[in-house]
Amino acid sequence: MSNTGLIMKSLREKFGYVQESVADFVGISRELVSMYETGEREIPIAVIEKLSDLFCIDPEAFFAETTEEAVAQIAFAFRTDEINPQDLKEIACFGRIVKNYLKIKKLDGQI
Amino acid sequence: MVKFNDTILEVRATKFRDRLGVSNADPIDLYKVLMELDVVTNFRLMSREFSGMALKTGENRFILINSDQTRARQHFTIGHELYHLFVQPNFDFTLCKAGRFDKKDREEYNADVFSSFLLMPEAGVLSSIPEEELAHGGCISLPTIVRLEQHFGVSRRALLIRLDKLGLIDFQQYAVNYLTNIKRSANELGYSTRLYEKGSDFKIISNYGTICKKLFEKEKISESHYFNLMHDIGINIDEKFEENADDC
Repeated sequence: MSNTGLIMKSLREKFGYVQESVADFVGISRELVSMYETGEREIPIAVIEKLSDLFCIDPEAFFAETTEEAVAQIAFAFRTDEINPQDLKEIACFGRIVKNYLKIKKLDGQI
Repeated sequence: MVKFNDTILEVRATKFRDRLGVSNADPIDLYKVLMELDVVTNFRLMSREFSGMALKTGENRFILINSDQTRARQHFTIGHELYHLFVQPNFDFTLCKAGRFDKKDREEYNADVFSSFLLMPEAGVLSSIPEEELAHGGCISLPTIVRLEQHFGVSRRALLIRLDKLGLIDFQQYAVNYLTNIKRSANELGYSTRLYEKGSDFKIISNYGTICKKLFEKEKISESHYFNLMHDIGINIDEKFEENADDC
C-alpha cells in the first residue's frame, strides 16, 4: 500500500500546519485532506505538486518507501508567532525556489 | 553532549566570525556572508508575525526573510537563522516565537543570543563607546546608542538588550527613554533612517540566476524554462532598463 497519505500527514504535522490551513492553501475541503491522509482517496499529482511547494520538498518525496525517509529530507525552523493563509502562499513560493535551486544545481552537475 | 550557555554561544559566534575572516570588532556584512556561505536567501512580504525561516536539505541551505520588517530586525533574523543552519547541533525542526529571548525554548533562545553576539561583538561594542561614558559614573549617551546601532546595523531594542547584558546599562531604564522616537533621534543626529525602515534591496541573494543563465546558454534548459525560473524569484528577464552611459 502506498505511503503517500501518511507522508502528507507527517509533513503537515512536522510543519505544524492544521488540516484546514492546508485545505485552504490547496483549494479543497478539510474532509478531502483527511481522506488523502488516511489513504481513503488517492492524491492527484496536481495536489502533490502544490504540497511539494508548501513543504519545500521534491514531489518524489511523497513516494518514498517510508514516512521517516520523506520527512528526514528537510530540516527547518520558523521564526514566527503564527502562520496565516497569506504566509502559506509565500512559503510555497519560497518552497518552489528551493525546489528549483536543487534542480538547477543538479542540472549543472553540482549535486 | 555539549551544554550550551551564553559563554559557549559567544565562543561559537566568535569562531563563526573567524571562519568568515571578520575581526571581532568590525560590523558583519550579512549580505556578503550569505553569498559566501551559499545560503539561498529570499526576501518576501510576509505578515507582521513572521520574521523568518531557515531550511536545510542535504548540504543545501535556505533562508526566507520577511521584508515587511525593518532592515535592523531582518539583520537580527538572519543572524538567528544562521545559528540554526550552521551552529545548532542536530538541527531538525523548530517552530519558534520571534525575538523573545525565550529561555523555555532552548534552541530559540540560543539562536537569539548567538545572533546578538554575532552582530554586536563585545570588543566592537566597547571600542565604539567613548571612554568617559565607560568610566565609573558615566552613562551611555543617546548619540553613542545611535552610532552603535548604525554601525552594527541593529535595532534599538536589540542594542539595548546587548548593552544590558554587557552590564553597561539597565535595559528597563533605557527602554523608557530611548525606545520611542527612534527615527527622529537618528535623523536629528544626521543619520539615515533607512535601518529603521521596512523593505529590502534584494529579492534573492544567491547564485540562482547565474546558474539559470549558464544552463540556458549551454542549452540545458529552454528559454521559456529560463524565463519561468527567473519569474519564480521575481525577476522579469525582459525588463527594459534605461542605461546611463555616464555610469559605465
